[in-house]
Amino acid sequence: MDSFENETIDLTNLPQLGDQYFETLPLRYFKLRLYTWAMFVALKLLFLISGLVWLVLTEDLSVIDVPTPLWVFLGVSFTFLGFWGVSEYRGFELRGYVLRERDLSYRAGYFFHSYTTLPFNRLQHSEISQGPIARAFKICTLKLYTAGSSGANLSISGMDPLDAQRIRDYIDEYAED
Amino acid sequence: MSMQKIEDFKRVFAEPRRQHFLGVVRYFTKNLVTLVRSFFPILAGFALSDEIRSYSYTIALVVFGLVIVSAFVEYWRFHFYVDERAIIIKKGLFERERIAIPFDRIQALHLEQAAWQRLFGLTGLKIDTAGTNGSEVDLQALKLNEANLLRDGIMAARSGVSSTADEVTTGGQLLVSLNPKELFKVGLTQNHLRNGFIALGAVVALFQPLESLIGTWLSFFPDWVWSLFYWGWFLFIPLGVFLFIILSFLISVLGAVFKFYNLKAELHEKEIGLKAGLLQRFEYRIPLKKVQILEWRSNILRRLLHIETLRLLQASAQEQNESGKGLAMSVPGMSSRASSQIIDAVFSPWSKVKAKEVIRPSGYLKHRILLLRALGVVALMVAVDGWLATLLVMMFGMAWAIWSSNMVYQNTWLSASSEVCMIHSGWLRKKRSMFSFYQLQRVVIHQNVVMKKRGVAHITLATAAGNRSIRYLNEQDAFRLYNWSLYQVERSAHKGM
Repeated sequence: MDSFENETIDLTNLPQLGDQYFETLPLRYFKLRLYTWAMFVALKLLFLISGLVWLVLTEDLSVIDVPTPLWVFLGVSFTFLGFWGVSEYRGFELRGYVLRERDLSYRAGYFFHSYTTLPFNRLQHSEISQGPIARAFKICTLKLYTAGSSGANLSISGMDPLDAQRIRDYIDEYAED
Repeated sequence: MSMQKIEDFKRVFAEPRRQHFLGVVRYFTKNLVTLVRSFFPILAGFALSDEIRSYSYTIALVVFGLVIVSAFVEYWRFHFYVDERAIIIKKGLFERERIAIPFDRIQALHLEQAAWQRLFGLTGLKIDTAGTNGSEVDLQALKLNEANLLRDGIMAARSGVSSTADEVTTGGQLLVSLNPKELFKVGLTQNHLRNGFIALGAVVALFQPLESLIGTWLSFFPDWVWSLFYWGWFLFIPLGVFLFIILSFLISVLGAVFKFYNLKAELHEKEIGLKAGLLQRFEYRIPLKKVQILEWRSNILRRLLHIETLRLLQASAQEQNESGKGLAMSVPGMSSRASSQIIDAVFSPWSKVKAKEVIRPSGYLKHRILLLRALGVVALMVAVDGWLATLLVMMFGMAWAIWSSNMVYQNTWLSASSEVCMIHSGWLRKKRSMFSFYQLQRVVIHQNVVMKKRGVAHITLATAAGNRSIRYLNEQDAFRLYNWSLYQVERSAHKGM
């Protein structure tokens, strides 16, 4: 039997997952993600301002009298929003998928980066889902299921519906062979 | 089992038939329990209202009657039979339900015998499939020889394999056989602490309803006992600890005796069988082909006695979390000889592979554990009073942190042949899991920003029976493993599970 060691020469000849292969998602999805983030920031600001106004009007407090835990809470939550924004903005170009002959890989995340690959000969079924918001932005989610867990094992949000359909057709063709 | 015998088996079970009449008893108890459990709040309400309570006798009678009738109807309408390729079950109180389970889809067949069933020579048969949660089927009461025939027949009929059952009757290699001494060893090495705390929890839970009873009982003690207890309560701490240890120890040993009494694990050519139990006997068989992960666990005591607990994990849709709970069968008291036998049976001969590659995690793992433990020690240093205590905590704490992080690091590694991967982890409580590369369903690599900068990555290898992760590998090792796993999966002609 071959050992793992002997095969390592072979390994370098194996197709490697490289950065240059990854297909990015449509810009519409980038916009949607940024809008979502901006909406959260706006809501937060609205909440904050209305709260402050209410405090000043009813309790006759000056800004300095706002208790410290509240400041800490605000600081933490805005830092979180900031990090979220950075990860959305910088992370989008990292988000992408690559279709190879026998598998589909997806990578995502700026602060927490992950690569996932699902071989087609382990696939049980696939699904394309599209909610009302996704429809408005002309994007969809491709979900691939394998045995052994109840959720989707690989789900790619923000795909162009045409691309998703093409990938699905390819997988179906692969499964029939 | 010869082809002739398979035909016989199919003929015997060809006609739709009911279970043994005493299945009614099982349905009755089962329905009663579900009823009481689901209507518990309403029952409690009844108990409070005086008007309804006066009718309690009638209500109880009516409910009892209903449960008896439904048990009879359920028994009456439950039929099962076998056709060419599947076992078919027809049941249902109001709507007819027909379930067909193809033999090939059956993951395992379990015989479970409660004490009362043993009295009548009956047994329950449970059919596990790889489907979603709750799709498994229970036959409540069959005659023992019928159940055996049914099980052997199904096992033999799947994918036309005709050798299984003959082998079963002659018996395969004995992996584990627990005689009283071995059984005591297994009981001795249980997790006493956990058992003790469960017992403590039970005591606390029982205390409240019995409070008044205990109160009257305690009032018999004279006052001086109480004053003694009031002033010298700390004297009772060692006694309490001692009692706790003895109690939890007793519970573990007794639990082990009840569960694993007369345990026998046998390895056959195509399946592994396990039977055990004092009052409630069970008999499990798992086809070797369906085993996805072998997992050994041991603690210090078990290693001293050279035994380990083996878990065989099968594909399951119920698995969702990282810990990997699938359909599993546990075999306690495995010797290393038995372990290597089962490895060779489930995977390709592992012991013969000379050039196994060993991959160790990056030193980053050690530094990270050290940092976390050192932070804990610092927090403790701040918490204690006095410079001597601080100094002692610092010395011992830091020594412990350095030593333990080093030990954890040294005991975390994986070895791989070209087909099989074995992950070792844990230091005091060791765990190793083993699976074939080609059975993987999906591979994931995780990195955060810091790990990326240091060239470190986690890899998660997902099988149909649960995920196994190796954390803090060097990036190039992780990607090598990643590409290798994919290569093995995609190369295999084997589809699905």
